[in-house]
Amino acid sequence: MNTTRMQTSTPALRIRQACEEGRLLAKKELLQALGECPAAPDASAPSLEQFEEEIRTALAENPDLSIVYGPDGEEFYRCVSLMSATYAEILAGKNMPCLLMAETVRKNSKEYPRPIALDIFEYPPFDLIPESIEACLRHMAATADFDDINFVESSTGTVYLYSTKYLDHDYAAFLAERLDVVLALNP
Amino acid sequence: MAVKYGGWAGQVLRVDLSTGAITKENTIERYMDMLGGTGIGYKVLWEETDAEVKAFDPANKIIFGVGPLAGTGAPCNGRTAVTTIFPVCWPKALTATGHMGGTFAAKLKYAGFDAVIIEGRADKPVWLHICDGQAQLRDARHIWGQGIPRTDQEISREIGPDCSVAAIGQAGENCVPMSVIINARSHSAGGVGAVMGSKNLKAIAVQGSRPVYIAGDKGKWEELINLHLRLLGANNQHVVPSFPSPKSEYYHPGSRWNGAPGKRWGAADPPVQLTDDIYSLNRIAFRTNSAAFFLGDSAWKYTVRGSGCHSCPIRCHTIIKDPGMAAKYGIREIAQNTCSGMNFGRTFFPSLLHDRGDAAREACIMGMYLADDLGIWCNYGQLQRDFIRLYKEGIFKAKLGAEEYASIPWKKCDEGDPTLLMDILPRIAEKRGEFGTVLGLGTGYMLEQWGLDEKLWGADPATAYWKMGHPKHHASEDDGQCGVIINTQYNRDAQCHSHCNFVRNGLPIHEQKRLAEGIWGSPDAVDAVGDYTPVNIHKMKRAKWAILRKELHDSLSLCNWMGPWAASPLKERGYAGDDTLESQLYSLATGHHVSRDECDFIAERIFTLHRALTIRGMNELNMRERHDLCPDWIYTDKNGRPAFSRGTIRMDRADIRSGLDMFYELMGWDKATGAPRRDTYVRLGLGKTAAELDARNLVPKT
Repeated sequence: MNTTRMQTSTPALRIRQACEEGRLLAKKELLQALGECPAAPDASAPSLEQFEEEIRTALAENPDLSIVYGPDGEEFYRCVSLMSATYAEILAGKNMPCLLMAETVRKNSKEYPRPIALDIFEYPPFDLIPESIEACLRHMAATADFDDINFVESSTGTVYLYSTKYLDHDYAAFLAERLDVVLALNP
Repeated sequence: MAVKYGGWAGQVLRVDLSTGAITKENTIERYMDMLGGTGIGYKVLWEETDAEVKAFDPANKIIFGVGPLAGTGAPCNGRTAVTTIFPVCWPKALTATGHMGGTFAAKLKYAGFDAVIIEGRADKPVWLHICDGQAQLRDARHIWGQGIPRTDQEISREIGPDCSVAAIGQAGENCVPMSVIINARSHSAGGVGAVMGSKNLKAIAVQGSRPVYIAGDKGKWEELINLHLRLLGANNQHVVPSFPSPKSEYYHPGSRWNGAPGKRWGAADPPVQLTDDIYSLNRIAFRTNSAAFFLGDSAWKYTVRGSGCHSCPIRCHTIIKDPGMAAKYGIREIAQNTCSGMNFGRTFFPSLLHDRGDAAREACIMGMYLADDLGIWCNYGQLQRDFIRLYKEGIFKAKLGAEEYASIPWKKCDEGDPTLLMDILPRIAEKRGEFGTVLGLGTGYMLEQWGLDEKLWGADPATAYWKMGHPKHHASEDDGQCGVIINTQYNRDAQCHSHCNFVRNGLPIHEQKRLAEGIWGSPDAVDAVGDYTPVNIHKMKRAKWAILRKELHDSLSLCNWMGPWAASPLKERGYAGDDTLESQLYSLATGHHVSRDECDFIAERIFTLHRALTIRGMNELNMRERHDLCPDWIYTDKNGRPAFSRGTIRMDRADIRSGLDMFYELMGWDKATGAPRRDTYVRLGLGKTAAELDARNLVPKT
């Protein structure tokens, strides 16, 4: 690691700062930032390999930092004490909204278990516009990789998504009704 | 030399309204074995009433009990237990408790008392003023007939604003069983208002400046309080936010932790924007917005802030302000409440049950305004569910006279017009006509009066009726067999939240199972909701734990709507709470050092005395067949799914019987009858209780 680099521009500090701001730093973004802030004004421009080595060193020396892979394999970094894995996975998947929606649905169906209301994807940190959500739903319906993504409506018409790998339709319907209707009337 | 304890004020006040005699008793000498709260209430009723006393007899007593943690700095210590022979309990009034939060519990301690025992009946309306170790009965004729807020205001004017006033409204004055006692605007104890009314007691006002001493090391006490604060989630101890957050691994859309960064208390002056430090101990009150939880995101615009109990940072009684609504209907523009109180108005209207728009909000505000003024109780929503069913099935039309039926604006019910409440709620508070009189009786007596079959009433899941005049309160729909068994045990709705606060905490099932293994010995102690497996001993251990912690909370003045703290938001603790928190708080506050198990042992004594009161009151040994009952709806599924299939809350009769077997065994009760065995009474220090019951053949022979 180049110890002459300004403390504010080290990979570790940049990763932590981004996480504090609720952002996830992509490798390409970090490399670009490091390139724009050389170790010393008169230093010869380091190579890409040197920057990558610098990042690897930072990750090895700082146990609070870890790598997050997006669904397309893109590399991101997070500070585990400042950003949860769940939140980081969502941010890392934003470039591939259909896959992000599907993986979110699968994880919720498997872990809690619960279906997910469709409108959650309109809110932070997903922030998908309704047109994108609709396009993803059409894409998923037409693509074999998303065969397991299904939907169910509560009695008030709210649409929930679930994965048939983990929930059957009846159970998903029960859980959707509970989330949408029952809890508010069962204080 | 007498041992000095912290926590307790040290005196219990006794007021005989028939004679005007006011006396004091030593708390430690008479009641320490029962802690306080419900414990004191049960003991007084056991020792001083008999099985024949009726709810409105002068011989009935109403005990306002608080615990050694009330008035301390322990979080969530604002509960007062109001224990009496409960008028809504059907077919015979039996011992039960209404609970209220607010400021009364702490102020009673500062006034120098751990409990107030009210007995007899005044010959004219009175209110009771308690201040700094003294008490005085005062003329209440000028406030008799007034609503609760005005009563509070008038008394506060007379004695100063530093008081807490627990008052009844017109419903309580008129001995309407479905009535409440309220302090601090919205904190109500259900079903007990009419007992005060029957005694001509309009209000109790408490004020004082006496300290509550902490016996233990002050540094340790502060450390414990800080730990407790860190373990808090949002309302109902939901430990994950409802929204994805960079600071939280988990989120759950059903969580009451809905204060997402950027949301605004839009009706505050100036508006307050919620910050993103969601775990800050100075921002716990940002987490919960009950209005937004029940009424949807639009409620943020009308939110002023959270209100709540003494020493509780949760502030679950959300204050909302709607000047437009006030101008439209001529009512107060501010309303506050939570849960059933928040939902009181809208749930009279079938069209608004699922509405989250303006009409639902207006109905809620109207409901809060009227119910908390007149002092009407909803019986955990049963009043409204009964109302809707009676209307839909044409029973009102059949039972009310034609003239009375025509006088009620039913169209407003169909249209969701909240002014319907201005018509029907005063009828109930004033016992006006057949409609007002019968609805005010409570479900059991209503069914009896109108010749309706209780069994049929309990066959419909939508009515949610359970037994003895009361509804389910977090039963199989939340927690399978654990919820069912808990709901069999009380003489009103169970009011137990220990179990559902855990299963609803928002953590994924694998985390819940891991925590369950640590506390109840097996991950099988908890199921995912709607994916219930056959009963096992660990579930029943959890049911026992849930009930004992409820009784412990009700006797210490801790809030069972928040505790126990079995889970927490803290990832670094593996989301574990601290199951020893209550015993640690009690030990440090009082100086009486007990372990978790010793603390639960005291709670078991308290709950077993409640059982003894029920057995004596019913003059019935066979609790299993006569008391610990379930409605038929829990054994049905609208889609015909069998029990133990995913997606149903349907229970299995043989499995529930098996669960009762296990529960009775864990409690030391006779399996055949569900009555405590003699050795159990003796083990719990209730040998005299056993002897008295034995003389009536009410102790199992085996």
